[in-house]
Amino acid sequence: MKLILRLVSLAALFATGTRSEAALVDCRPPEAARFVVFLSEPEFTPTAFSKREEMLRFFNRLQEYLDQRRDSEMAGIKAVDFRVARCEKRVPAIDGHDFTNDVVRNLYDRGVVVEIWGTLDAKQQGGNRVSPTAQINYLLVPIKRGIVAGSEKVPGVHRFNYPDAEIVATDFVDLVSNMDLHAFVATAIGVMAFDGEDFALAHEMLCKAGSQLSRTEKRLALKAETKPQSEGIQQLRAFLRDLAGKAIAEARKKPSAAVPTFARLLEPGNPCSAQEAPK
Amino acid sequence: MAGMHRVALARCFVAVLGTALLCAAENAFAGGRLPCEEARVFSDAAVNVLVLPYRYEAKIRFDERSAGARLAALIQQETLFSMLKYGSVGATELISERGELCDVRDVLSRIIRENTLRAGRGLAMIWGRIYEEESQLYVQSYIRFIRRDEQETIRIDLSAPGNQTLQFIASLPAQAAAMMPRRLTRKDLAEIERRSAETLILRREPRDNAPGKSLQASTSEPLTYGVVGVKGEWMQIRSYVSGETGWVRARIENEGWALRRFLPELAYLDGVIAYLRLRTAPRVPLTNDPKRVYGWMQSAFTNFETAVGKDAVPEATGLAKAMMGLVVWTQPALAAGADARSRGAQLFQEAVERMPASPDARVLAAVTSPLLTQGPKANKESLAKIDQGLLGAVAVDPHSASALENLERLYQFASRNASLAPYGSEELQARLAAIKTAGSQPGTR
Repeated sequence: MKLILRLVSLAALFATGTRSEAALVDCRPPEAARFVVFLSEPEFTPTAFSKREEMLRFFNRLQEYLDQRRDSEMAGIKAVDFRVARCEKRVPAIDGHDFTNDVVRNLYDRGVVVEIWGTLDAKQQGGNRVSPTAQINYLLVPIKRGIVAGSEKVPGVHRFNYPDAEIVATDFVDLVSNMDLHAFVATAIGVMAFDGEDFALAHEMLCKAGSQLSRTEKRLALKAETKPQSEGIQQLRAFLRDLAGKAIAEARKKPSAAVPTFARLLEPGNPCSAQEAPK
Repeated sequence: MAGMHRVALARCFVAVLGTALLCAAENAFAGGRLPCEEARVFSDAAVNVLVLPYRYEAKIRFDERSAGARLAALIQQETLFSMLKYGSVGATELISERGELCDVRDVLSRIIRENTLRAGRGLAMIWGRIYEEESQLYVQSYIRFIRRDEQETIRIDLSAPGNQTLQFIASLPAQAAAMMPRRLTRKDLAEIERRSAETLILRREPRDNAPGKSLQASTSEPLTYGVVGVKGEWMQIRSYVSGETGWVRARIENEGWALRRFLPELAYLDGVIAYLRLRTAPRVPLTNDPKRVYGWMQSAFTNFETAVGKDAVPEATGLAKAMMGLVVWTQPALAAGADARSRGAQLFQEAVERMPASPDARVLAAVTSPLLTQGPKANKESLAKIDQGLLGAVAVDPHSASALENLERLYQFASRNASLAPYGSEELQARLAAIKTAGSQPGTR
């Protein structure tokens, strides 16, 4: 039934022509930063926003919210220099086919760690928007790029339908700024930092991401329809754990006096210690 | 102009109340409104709440008709009435008369610098942003709390052979929480005001069917009063604006909480106030059964989590679990029949499940983990488990002072007790050396 509703809703979306022409226009963050998250313009149904201007006001608010890290979880990666770019008119195809190797390489070279895009829908009740839903796609650029050994074997694009078992919301901002996004940002920063041989940052972010994703994995495993996604997250976690171990091994290659504390205390075979290992 | 006179009167009232009324009435509470630049608290109250203006992003001046101002007045009112049940509390609404930013850090510095918050007393602050789009309001709240000159820490003593004690120290993962943005319509706000007017009645006598009049804060006339008498759940209050006296019933349960239905973070604030009231009880004794206060705390946090969902703000719900664990740990009588330490350890585990990337939550869970199974004993098994837990905290934050200091305690103890040690002697020395060098690495300790 849910699937039918979604198909009807998407049909309405295309019929009303609110979907912008799929095109990957360029995008820049508010300020230069080591890592960048691209927030692309969402598609929307007429019941979500009656006109594009209305959606853009929401879009501005969302970008500001994410960029200024106004929630505690995003603030948990406060020590990392990253910004959220507002990518108006950049509307990737919903199935992600725009992200060719060249596009992904270009994003990677510019420090883009994650690109978020998707579709917003809602119901109308008494002139107000109620029951917001969102289909959000996450492109994990360093994974999709496949430059770090092993990354080519794990999914680089993840698609989620919100709300779900635990992520509920009164507004679209709550749906987009959620624990999955935070975990994916930490994941991608960790992988890109590893490739840049910043093993301390890589290790920290990979362990953080692994622990956050364990909650996502459990949540998705609760329902039969999201079980395959849960398995994708499990694969990703196994990769992150393995990479965290490699970060320790690489950090240990430094002269002994320069080996950082984390690499002396933690073991490559158990890189995040007490964290629950992916099965 | 009339509004300014009332504000001046309220200011005068606060100054007088701080030195006189609260000293006289142990169970007193009070409410008031002050400009941000003159922020202060009721010195003798065990717990104070400051409601900072919700920054209305489209306006630059204080506008008493704005949604932000109306909402702040309603929050102060709702908070005051929810606090009544705890006793010895005060709530003050701060306003930004000149439209300047009322920064929480500046307010806190002023309160500390001017010594209006006394040692060991608690302070909770709520503030936020409000944004208007079409006819809808978006509200995001932030909550922060402290106890003056006190740390929110616990000490864990594990006994070891030869009358030895292995001691760890762990603290709350945070003393602030960001809530998720909430959406309200202007119609909702009007409905909240209407329902508040219906439920907040100042009665002539302490009974529900006594004649009375609506008692509602407005942006021009804040709830500015003190408690002059108590009868069960009824409080006799006197307005310091109008001089009017009457009875109001303290809100014990959740019925009739118009604003809380729309802003569940007020339930969270209620839980924080309960936490602070329990933690301040050694200095300002409670007038209620502590188990009852703990029950309110549990119920407030549970209501919050039910309203927003388990994963919507895991940092906030994880912190709530840690706060509950900490009060049970420090006041074992609250555990109601269960083993308090084991219950506390369980709550710390629940906290880390919600906030696995928090190093301090991991430290709390790690050092209390022996209490889950075998009691406060330092043996080979418990030391290995604590070691793994603390290393898990280092994994998510290699600069965590709390994780590194507790690891140092563990390895030093293990060096003296080879039979309990998780590593050989040489490895232990290497680990201790690594922790010592951590102090010289950037960003550590």
